[in-house]
Amino acid sequence: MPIVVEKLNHVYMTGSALAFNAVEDVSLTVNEGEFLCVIGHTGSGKSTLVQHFNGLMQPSSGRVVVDGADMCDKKMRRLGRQLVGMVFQYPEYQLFEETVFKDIAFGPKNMGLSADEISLRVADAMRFVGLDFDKFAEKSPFDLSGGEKRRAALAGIIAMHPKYLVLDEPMAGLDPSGRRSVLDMLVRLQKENGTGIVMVSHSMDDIARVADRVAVMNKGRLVMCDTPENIFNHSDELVKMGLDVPQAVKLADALLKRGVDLGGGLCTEDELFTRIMEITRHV
Amino acid sequence: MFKDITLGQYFPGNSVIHRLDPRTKLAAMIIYIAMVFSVKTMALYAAVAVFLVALLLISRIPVSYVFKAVKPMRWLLVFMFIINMFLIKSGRVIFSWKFITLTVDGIEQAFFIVIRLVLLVCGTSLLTLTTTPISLTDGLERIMSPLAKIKFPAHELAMMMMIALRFIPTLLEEAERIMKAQAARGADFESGNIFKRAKNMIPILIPLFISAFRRADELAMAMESRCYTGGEGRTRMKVLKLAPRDLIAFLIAAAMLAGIILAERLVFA
Amino acid sequence: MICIDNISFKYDEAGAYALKNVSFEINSGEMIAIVGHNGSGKSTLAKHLNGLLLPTEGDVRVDGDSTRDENALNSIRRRVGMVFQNPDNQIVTTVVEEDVGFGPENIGVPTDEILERVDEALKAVRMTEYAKSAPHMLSGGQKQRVAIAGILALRPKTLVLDEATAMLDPIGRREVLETVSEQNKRRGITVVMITQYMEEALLCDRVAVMSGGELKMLDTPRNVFKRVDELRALGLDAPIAVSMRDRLIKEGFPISDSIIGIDELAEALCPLLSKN
Repeated sequence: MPIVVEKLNHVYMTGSALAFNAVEDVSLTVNEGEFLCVIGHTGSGKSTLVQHFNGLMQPSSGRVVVDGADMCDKKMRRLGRQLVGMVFQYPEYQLFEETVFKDIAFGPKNMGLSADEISLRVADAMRFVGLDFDKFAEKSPFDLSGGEKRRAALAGIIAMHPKYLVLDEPMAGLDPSGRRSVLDMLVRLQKENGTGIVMVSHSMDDIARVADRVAVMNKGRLVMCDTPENIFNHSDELVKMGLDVPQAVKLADALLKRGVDLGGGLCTEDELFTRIMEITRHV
Repeated sequence: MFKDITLGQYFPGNSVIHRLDPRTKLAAMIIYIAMVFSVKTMALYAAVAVFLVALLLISRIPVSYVFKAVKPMRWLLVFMFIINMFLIKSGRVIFSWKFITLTVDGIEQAFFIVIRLVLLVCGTSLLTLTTTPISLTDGLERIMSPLAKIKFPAHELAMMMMIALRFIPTLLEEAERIMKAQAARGADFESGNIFKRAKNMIPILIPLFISAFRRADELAMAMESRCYTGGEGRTRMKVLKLAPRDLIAFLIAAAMLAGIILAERLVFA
Repeated sequence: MICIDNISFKYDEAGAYALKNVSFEINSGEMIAIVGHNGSGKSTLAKHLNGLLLPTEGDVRVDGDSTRDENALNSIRRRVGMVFQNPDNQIVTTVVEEDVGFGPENIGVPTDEILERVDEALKAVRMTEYAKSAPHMLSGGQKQRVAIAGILALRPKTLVLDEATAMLDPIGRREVLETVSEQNKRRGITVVMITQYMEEALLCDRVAVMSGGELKMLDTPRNVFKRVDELRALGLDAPIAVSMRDRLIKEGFPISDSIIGIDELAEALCPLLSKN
């Protein structure tokens, strides 16, 4: 069953002069197994919104229902946290155990799983994120490189086998190859395990490549939610909201400005290249 | 939750109190503390409270904002109240059961202690709310500077205090983020006895310490890059100068203290 | 001018070289990017430019002064300012203008002149209206601009940005880049930009590519981006105009292999596509 967000409002500092609506009247459904990206400038409410998905934050009004469990119900929240894994920005900063194994096992242990099951899951998760078990399991997480730490932190959530995975800027601060390996990992998680992915990101090129749908937040409101092709057709509006567009869209726009219309729906380099080849071959 | 903490923060403004020399404010605060501790009667507590509220009004800081400083310590206050209530056994007994005795004096004293704490916290918040950390540390450094001759690290202490004040909001935000991240991994901070709870804090404290060290390291580099080499040879962007208003403020504070002590001795003795 | 003369560096005696035989010169008034994957040595190199790190072998000389010379160090740091990655960890005080004044205070500038320099620096980064604000209430881009102002108040000749845009959102990144290029164009301040974003390298006069502690390429962006395959092998990406250009050339499109910008590519493709 999906994550259903209904008329969600979140007000910070309620009742004081500084009160402000971080999230205003947002309704949204995250479907099972889809890759949903959430974009919006800093302070648009996107991080606040996604933190409601597993009951870490409580709505001021409205509802969030995960797999039929209402996150306003305190007893349901534990279940919510198992169903919806949450990866914050720079997740490597939450590593704390003596060994990588123990750190990844922290989540599964809190779920009350048996020791055998935990070992199995840790080994699985490490394989999934590309950390060699024999090499890394007994290492201190603080001795890893930046990219390895990030992957170990991700493994800690993946080992909890969430049905949905919410990530806030999972590629921030990584170099191009690090970014690619994290993104590929998320795509594999979606395709192979059927995990629903909600990714908050500024990286429009990556979003254009992987998203099934894109939700656009502006000033606390959900202003658009559609396929990347349709969203990035509104490049002027996005730029006005302080957002970027994929490089391919910029190139298509630059051509359009010079009178060459390639038609809409081109968000990635591959799509653009294919279209250019089609046009030139047809004639 | 952590964002609500106002202790140690600066509240921008341009009131008379904001403009006072930090040394005057530091001196006035010491007088104020003496005042709070020399009061033993309800009526005079009220007088001190009125004095404090008057200062708040002059400083144009919302009263609710100052009381937010007290909010994080509400449990400490309740705890202090209960302990003191049962500790003092003199006076008329209201209730007695086995070794527990509750007396009129006990309740009164407990009440006073709580009031005293609240007055102290609010008063000291007024100092930090109306004084930028730089001028506060500058004031402290100047007050302590005679001690530098006997190798007392006045500048270093002042600098450390300033950096601590600067990093309070940053580290609180970070603590909150780590707490949420661990909660998302199923960590439980709310159940179990006190030992279990303390143990449950480890997943927060370790990352927080590591991050604090990393920040300290980076800050040190940034400071070095900006030519920081210690207190020697530094100039000041804002030079402290005592104005007539400082003398007046000091006299008012001193008069207030004298008045309170006299009233306590003569009227309420 | 900063002369990097055959430097090598190890973080600890027994460890591997973080920098190996790096030599090049940074010219006055130029804007140069140093790019490379994580751990390529680019940040280590940056920290040599103002003597935060001293080379194990070789020398770094700023206008002739070696960073090894302790007496010259303070003056070198005045000339070569550095802005770091995390905006939160380089702001010292809780009021913007006082933070900008921190550098001038350290070097003993008289009070009146400090105020003047602070005003000027805040104006240069367009943060004057935030002079009295608390830094923790600002956005990431604004914080970084305050950090840049803190350096500009020292009136440096060179500004080194050590991945200063890595933690910012697109608006913040744009703000910082605009501020920095303006300082370079209008005031002739030398800019050294350590970055992973190849789009930022496009803005520079020259690009130095680091990998494994070694300098692999040093050339204009146009020439560097002619060697896309090598860049990829070093763990770097190419901007879309570059990779698209190469794919189209392979398909027989008659376009120049020195195109690096989106508008340039559009301009070149326009006649080819509208003909059909």
